[in-house]
Amino acid sequence: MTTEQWQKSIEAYEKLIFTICYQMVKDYHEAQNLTQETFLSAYTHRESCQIETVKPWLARIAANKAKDYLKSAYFRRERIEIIQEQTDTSPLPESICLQREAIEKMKEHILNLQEPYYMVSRMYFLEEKGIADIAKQLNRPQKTVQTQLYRSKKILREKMKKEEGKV
Amino acid sequence: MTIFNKNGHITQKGLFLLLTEKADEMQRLELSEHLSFCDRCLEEYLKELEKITLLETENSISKNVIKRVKYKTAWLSQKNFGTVVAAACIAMVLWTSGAFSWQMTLQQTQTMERLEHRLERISWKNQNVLHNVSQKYQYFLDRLGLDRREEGLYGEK
Repeated sequence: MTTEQWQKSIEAYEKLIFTICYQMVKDYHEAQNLTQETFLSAYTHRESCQIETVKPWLARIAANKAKDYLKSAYFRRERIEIIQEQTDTSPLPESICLQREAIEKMKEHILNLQEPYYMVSRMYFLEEKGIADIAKQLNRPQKTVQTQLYRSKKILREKMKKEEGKV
Repeated sequence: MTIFNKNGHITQKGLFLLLTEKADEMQRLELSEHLSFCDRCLEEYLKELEKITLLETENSISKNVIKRVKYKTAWLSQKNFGTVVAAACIAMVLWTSGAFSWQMTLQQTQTMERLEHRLERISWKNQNVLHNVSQKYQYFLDRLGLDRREEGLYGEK
């Protein structure tokens, strides 16, 4: 894509990219920033894009930018929660798996997980596959598999906590 | 509400939640994560977006982006020009100070020392010759003066 074509693509897809960013982050100013960032990234990598595929290419960049923004916001909050929970001595899902009584319960929770966490957790915890293998089989990026595993651990920990509360 | 099917792709419900801005933060994170790598779901999502009215911004984003790119390009070319000028200056300083030919200077100093030594000897010789010449010249003048005085004396006679 040439610089002129890139300039034309901004005018053509400005609204589309802004809508995608807004639907994902639900913040007007942040969506504006992410739209600008999307087009700037597109300018930097314009030579790797064909003009015929510019629309999905820009949409993908926008989704990536939104994902990065939401992820950083999520992890910021997560860190605060972890600091607050430091006094909490509840065991991690990995260590619970080691306890024989809890294994069956944990299996049940894993099998009841929904996508996008179900397959990732089943393959990692029950089939003991590596992250690279899982990413290859599910056709997902390794980083995505890692973050999905991280979140599924959190879901499982919360479920186990609830179980303990009931007991 | 399931936003992903068993194959891990976004369901119609998932797309509906995203398009109607009803998805919560975690769902939006999961959906954006999936759309960042899945061609099939991204295509579906773009098809759905064609059916709705797209949002507009108060200020033109394109103008801002183009301005930012122009600024960035100008800054980069300035930076490159600065780097080239700085490199040229350093090269000039090193070149004139002889940093690129220090072995040559060693040889040159040795030659210079030899030359100086020879020049010293030559100047000594010259000095001796000059001294002899001036002595002879003085002697000649003395003789000439004496002869003239003698001539005067005889003339008075």
